[in-house]
Amino acid sequence: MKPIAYISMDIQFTRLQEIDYRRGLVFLQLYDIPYADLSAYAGILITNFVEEAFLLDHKHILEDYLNDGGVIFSQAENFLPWLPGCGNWKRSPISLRDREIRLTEPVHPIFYGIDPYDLNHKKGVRGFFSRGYLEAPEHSEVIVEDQDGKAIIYIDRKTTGGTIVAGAGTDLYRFGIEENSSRVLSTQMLNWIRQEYEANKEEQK
Amino acid sequence: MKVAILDNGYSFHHRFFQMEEFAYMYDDVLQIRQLHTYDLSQYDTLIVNDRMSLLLLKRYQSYFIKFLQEGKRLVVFGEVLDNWLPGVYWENSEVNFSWWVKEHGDLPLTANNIDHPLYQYVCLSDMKWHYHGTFKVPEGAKSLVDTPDGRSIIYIDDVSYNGELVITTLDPIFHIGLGFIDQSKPFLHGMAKWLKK
Repeated sequence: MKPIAYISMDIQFTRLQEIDYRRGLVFLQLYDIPYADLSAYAGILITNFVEEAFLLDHKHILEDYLNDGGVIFSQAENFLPWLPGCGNWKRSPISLRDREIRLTEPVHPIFYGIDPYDLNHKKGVRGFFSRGYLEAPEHSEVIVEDQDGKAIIYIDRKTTGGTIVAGAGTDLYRFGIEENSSRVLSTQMLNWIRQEYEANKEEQK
Repeated sequence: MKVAILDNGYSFHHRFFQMEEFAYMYDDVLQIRQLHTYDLSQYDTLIVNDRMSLLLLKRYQSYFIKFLQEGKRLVVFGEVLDNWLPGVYWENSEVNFSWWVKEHGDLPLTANNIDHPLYQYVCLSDMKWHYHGTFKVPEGAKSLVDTPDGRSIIYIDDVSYNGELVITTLDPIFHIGLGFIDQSKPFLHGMAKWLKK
């Protein structure tokens, strides 16, 4: 099983635990991207804890990985154009108290069985999942949106030869910490990334 | 009083630095990845921003220690893992971020050394949203807010170094930059006014 890279700065929030490694996740320090061989990974998660100027300087490495059929799942609130086809994150004008996260139909496999209530609340507090939105490219598939129809997560299979998932919010991989339906989010996310990667590779044959 | 603050290029750092409301807090923004290119001797205070890369904090460890030993003031927000700042004893905490949505919920904290000048600019409730860690306070240093187990979430140490270390486990810039938990603003304004006085 090829691992999936978790690209981030090393900080308290982003350190991987034994369970993450068992799931096939590998920590890749942001500043090591120029020295890494990304073809070793069946997918790449990029957290919000990244120096965006550094990513922009090394955008070609991400593009090469994508054009080789790779899958990048970004969870950053971008302010620089380092992710192909993705514009800057915008803050939602809707207050966190009133903003509603909605799963589009048909529900994407990453969110199978997850109650939207559990995405909107973490121990009763709203706002963890997302505080903004992205302008989804026309050819993309929006899988999570707010009540105004603004894209919170979209999938773009057209801009590059691979798959870009852009999320306008929090670290989805670590979101499901409570004993509720969101608990399965991490594993469903990794499973889907692997399937997507395999499908991309199959298509290349 | 010339103040520099470190930037790690995160989106929440970028959005914080775009806020006019806090521009009075610092004179210069320094990119930590280029820290070796700046002349730190021109600053009286250096602010280590929230959630900085531990790799880079360790890379420039000697710069921070030298700054303190030259009699300057080092202000540190956020985690001190991997001993990047020797003499600071951080422990991770379970984060109680939801106490305020519970009926009669509370985050038990106690004000200490309330004669300290920072308390002219902030009050205990300004420092009460949540915290991700606690410190053991070095001998002679002054804790301003204690946790129930006798540890601290903010202390000031002017005995361990030639200069003054102001250190907290609170993460206001992270939250202000995210636009999530604006309760952290009064604390940061209070801290900024005290630092600039």
